[in-house]
Amino acid sequence: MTDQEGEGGVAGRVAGWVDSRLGLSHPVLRPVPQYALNPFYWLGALAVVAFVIQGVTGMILMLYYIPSPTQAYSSTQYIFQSVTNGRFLQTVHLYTAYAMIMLAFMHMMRGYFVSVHKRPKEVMWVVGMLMGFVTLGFGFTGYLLPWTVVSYSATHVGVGMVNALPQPLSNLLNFLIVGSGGDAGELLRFFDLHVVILPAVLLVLLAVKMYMLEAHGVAEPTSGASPEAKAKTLPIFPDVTVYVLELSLLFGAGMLLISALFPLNLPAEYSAITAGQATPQPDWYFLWIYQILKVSVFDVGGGLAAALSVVTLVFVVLVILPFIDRGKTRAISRRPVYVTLGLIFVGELVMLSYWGYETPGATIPTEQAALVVGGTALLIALGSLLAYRVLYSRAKVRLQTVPAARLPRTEVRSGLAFTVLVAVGAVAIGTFLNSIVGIALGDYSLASVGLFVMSGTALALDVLGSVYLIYRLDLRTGGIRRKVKALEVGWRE
Amino acid sequence: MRDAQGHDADESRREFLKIAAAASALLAIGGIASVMKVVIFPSIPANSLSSFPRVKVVSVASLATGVPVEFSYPLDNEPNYVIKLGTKAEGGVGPDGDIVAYSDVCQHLGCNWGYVAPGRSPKVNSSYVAPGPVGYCPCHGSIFDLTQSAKVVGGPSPRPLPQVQLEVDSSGDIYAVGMGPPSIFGHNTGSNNVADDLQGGTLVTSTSEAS
Repeated sequence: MTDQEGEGGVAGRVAGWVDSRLGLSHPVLRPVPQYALNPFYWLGALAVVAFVIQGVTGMILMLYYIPSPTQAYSSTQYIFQSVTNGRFLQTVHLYTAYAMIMLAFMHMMRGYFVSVHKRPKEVMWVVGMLMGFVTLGFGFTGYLLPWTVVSYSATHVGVGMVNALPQPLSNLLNFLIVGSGGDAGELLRFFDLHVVILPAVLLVLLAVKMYMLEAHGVAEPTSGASPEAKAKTLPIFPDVTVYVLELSLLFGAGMLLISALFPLNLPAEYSAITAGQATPQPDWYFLWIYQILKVSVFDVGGGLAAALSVVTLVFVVLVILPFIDRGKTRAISRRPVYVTLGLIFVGELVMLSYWGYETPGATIPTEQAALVVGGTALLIALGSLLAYRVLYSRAKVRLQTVPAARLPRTEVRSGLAFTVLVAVGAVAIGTFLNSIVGIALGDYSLASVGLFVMSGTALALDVLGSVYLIYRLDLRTGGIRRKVKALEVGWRE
Repeated sequence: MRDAQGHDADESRREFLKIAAAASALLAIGGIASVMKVVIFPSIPANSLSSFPRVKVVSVASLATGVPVEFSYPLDNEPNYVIKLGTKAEGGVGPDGDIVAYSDVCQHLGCNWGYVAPGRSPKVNSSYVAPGPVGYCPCHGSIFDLTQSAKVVGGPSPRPLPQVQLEVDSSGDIYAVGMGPPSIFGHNTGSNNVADDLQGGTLVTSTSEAS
């Protein structure tokens, strides 16, 4: 503050000068509520920190890297072998890229689960998704640059996908990322996208998003914030700045430590012969797309377009999500359907990625894929249902016992349901035992494990259904109670 | 506000601005449209060389059974394999009719496939055992039967590999003389017009001695 200038000795005078010139103690940004000083509120900020690390390491790498097909690999090798700490820089650059993608993903999923995408922040969500796509674009364009076996194949797969898109999108994207100059032009464009165009786009989007954040403020906890909690705020400088600096330094130190412990090895240089014998798997963040492409249902003509449509649909749904999930409530306990869908989305991504990692270059039979994808969704849905029952059951709600009148139609329905349950149960028990025997005999194929999971799930559902029906029977009169909740425990008198 | 002649100055100024804005918008749209025209309908540069060159690839004597040799054809950045399969093949040349050559670029998404000898497995997928000489693409598992003009026998590739047409002269030298359909991946992918193979690069004039 200007009035403090000249007080408190030399240090105070210096601080006063800096403060009065930079306006630090008159921050123009909103103060931050106390409850936001929680790492989960800063996942996006950490992704930005990762972006800054990428910028710094990338600029140093850029001094040595030469984007030409004949020199890309040798200059990368030079960085690894001859540049002081070059291998370390390269490692930090790659691992921080991984961290940036993971943080962006966590930021998105957390936002979804605590409903920050809802009114009035729909556009912030859309801008955030665009930033996510740019981040994936960084990964994709960074692939090709070292000109290794995997980078070349992966890039050609990406360009091949672009070619399979409908016109004029295909031509436009081809023009942007490939040009017409063969390998050399393609590499140069990927380099330009990676180091200039994408960073510029990301910075503009970041500025737009930060403006909107400043306009709306950080989200309250899902349980809401009391007026006192809202009033408890901290100024952006120094309190919040110091907090974010601490988090960033911790994150940066972690990245440096991991990079020092697990340095990269440069894969072999590209040639058609080595590429034909290599295992060209994409990096982990594209593995789920890779696995979808390998399902044999897409082996027919036009299958590629169909597979790409599935992937595109996922991305489109993510972008327009705030306009689909428009419920007013933000509480996790009161959005079981959307929370479960989100969990299924994460589960499928993890499952497909791991499966893709385990089965390089092998096509997946359609039935097996359907079984595993469906089984994963079913298991997560069931787990989520159970979790909701356990976590959010309202023990204090008194259930009303419906007068035990004879309800013949209901009885017939219950009888039918019982018959179905018993029949399904018999089949499920048989299949379940069979699959256990199969696994015990050493058949660990995915089909057999999948059958085990599916029949086990069916059996569990069957038992749950039976228990539910039995609970509905009024034992004293033999009638049916109408209002009994699933998984209700104990009879109420 | 009115000027000395009694005109409404603001009114005319507003009219002028409207016309200026509309004209600018028209010009801008015209400019963007002219760029988009190039993007949407790119003019493919006419290649004066419209026929396939005849270039020496390798000699029959230097080929060992089951050892593929890479060569570029018809453009200097398009890899192909020439392989002596050991069993008679469609379009095969040489004394046993078992020497064939194909584009090394998979028709699915443009990866380089690798040769797998009968009874062997590709490095990426040990659960697959080749029933005969096949090409296996390590990216998404497309499989091509190399004895049957690279017919697709597994995996997602929508088309067989383009076959290189070979000729053997009296001294036992093998020449590449042309490509069969479909066009090489990335050259108007999906078309059967082999002339597309000649666009977008430099024609091979002499092939380095492969051994």
